Amino acid sequence: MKSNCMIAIVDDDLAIQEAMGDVLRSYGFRSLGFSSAEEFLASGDRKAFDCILLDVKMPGLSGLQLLELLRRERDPSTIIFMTSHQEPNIRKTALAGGARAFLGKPVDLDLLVTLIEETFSDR
Amino acid sequence: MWKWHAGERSASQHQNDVAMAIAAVANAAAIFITDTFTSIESAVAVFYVIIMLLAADFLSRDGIVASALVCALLSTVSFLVLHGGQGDLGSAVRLVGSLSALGVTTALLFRRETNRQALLASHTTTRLSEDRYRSIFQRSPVALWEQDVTGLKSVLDRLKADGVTDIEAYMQAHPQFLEACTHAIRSVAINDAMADMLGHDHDADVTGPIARLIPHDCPALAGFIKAAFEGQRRSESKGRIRDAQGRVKIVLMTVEFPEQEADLDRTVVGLIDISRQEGAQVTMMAAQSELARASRASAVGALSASVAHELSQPLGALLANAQACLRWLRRVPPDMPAANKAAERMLRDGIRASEIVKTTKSMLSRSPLALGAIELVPLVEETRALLEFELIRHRVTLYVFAEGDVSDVVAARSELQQVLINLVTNAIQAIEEAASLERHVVIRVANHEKGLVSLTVRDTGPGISVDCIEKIFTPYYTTKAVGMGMGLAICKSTVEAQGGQLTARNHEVSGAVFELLLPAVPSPDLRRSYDVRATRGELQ
Repeated sequence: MKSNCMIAIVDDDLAIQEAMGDVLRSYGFRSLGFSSAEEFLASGDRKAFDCILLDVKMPGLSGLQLLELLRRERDPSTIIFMTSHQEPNIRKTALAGGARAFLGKPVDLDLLVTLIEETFSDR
Repeated sequence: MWKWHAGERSASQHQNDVAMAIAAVANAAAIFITDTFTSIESAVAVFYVIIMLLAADFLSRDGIVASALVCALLSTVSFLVLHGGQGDLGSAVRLVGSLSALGVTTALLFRRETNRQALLASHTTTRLSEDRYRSIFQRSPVALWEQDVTGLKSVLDRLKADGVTDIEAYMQAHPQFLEACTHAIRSVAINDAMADMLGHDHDADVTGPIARLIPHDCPALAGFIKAAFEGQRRSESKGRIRDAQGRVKIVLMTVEFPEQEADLDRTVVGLIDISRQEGAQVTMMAAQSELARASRASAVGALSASVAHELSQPLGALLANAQACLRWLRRVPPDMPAANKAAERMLRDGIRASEIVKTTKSMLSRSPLALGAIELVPLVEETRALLEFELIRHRVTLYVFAEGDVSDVVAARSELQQVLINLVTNAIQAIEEAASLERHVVIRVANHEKGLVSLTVRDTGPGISVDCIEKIFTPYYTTKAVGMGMGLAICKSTVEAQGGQLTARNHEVSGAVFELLLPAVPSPDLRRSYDVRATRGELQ
């Protein structure tokens, strides 16, 4: 059920959190915004999130570092990066680290929604 | 006794000498006999003088003295034989007269011979000195070139007689004059070192006009001619010379003109091959020029990258909000409150984006400026040095004129340098694109009214077209195929941040003029309040 799907939006830009949250809501997805990787990790029930939208560059723990952490914990969530840093090295590291996708900002919303829907149809 | 040393006279001359000797002896005998055995009353002995004169031709000094003694003896003997012990006054006087004449003549002949010996000795000394010079010249490790500049001297004297006083102006007005001069100066000799430098054999013949070796556009030539014209003793400068293969080498040439005009045919020019150093210099200047260009490009590049990155955030949010808004509106029924909120967020994001743009523009002029008192003329000369390679490559000449005693200005040194580099580079490019025949950039510095100093950069390019002149300082405006068009916009903001102005106009004759107005350092007794913009940096 779509209403069960929880998406985490981890980005230090509040405007992005709000905009992304609203778009996802218009598609029927629920979401929660976090301004840093630490804030996300400190949140109570991380297992509730099926999908994480992640920025690369954030104060404190970077997106890549969070990815590594989650993978070590064997977190099964789908991780999708959204970033304005389009360096091929980062992209390679992210995808090798198990990210589902590496999207550039401004995000192609159709693609994003398609990816998310794919995730949830697998469940 | 014999005057001539062995080998000094030819065989026929020697035979003559011998014949003369015999004749002299015979004559002497004749005179003696006449004197002694005839009753001729005149002073026959005087004729011994003639013998002496003849004999001096082949007798050494000792020989002269000996012959004189013999003749004197003969005269005395004649007297004694003729008159015994009872000579009268007349004959005694005649004897004394003869002996005196003989003595005087002998003395004169003796002195003549002495002088001749001295002259010979002096000739020998001179010849040895000449040999030593030749040896030093030939074997000197420095390349030396002996030239005959008498031809040039007469050409220059003719010009002076025609009323020419400024030889530099004359040379500029008559471009073929330099080449004519290379035909007026003749090459006399080159030493071994120079032959090696040019790849000639040591005994190669390089005599003839120097035009063979010196191309008419050799930079040292004008200096050489000017020094000769103005009577200067020395001239030193870089020049170009053709080697045996016809290749051109860069050399350092120095000449010291001889003091005596008669020695102008033996003017020596020293040369040092600096082709390698010049090559290194050219490479270094190219590297400097590249560095200056790269640092400008990287500064602009870095700024662009950071601006692009910063803008992508609010734009991303804006797009997402727009998408959301549409979805809320297309719902059945439309979710108006949600759409409203989305639209409000869009507005907020849009404002944020434009703020970033504004900040960027002011950032271009707000980076911390270290302001100080700058002397403009040395700064311009530094710019010339930095761009020397470009100027030479595009065959553009840079002239710098300072009108009167120009004040120092208050400015940030490296930023102002960047502006100058930008303006001169643009000028060179304009000239290059227009393929102008007249290829110069003129920088003029002068005090302006209202406590400002004016620096203008004028080129002989095509000028600025009327529709461009308005837009020339706007960002992203360019007529060049390569380049972002930020250069002049950045220059203008930099200059304005330092309290100055930058304007452009066309020159009345040809080309464009960019005028920089900068605040002058105020004279100590006249305190004035600065423009707010100028004090944004730190006054050192």
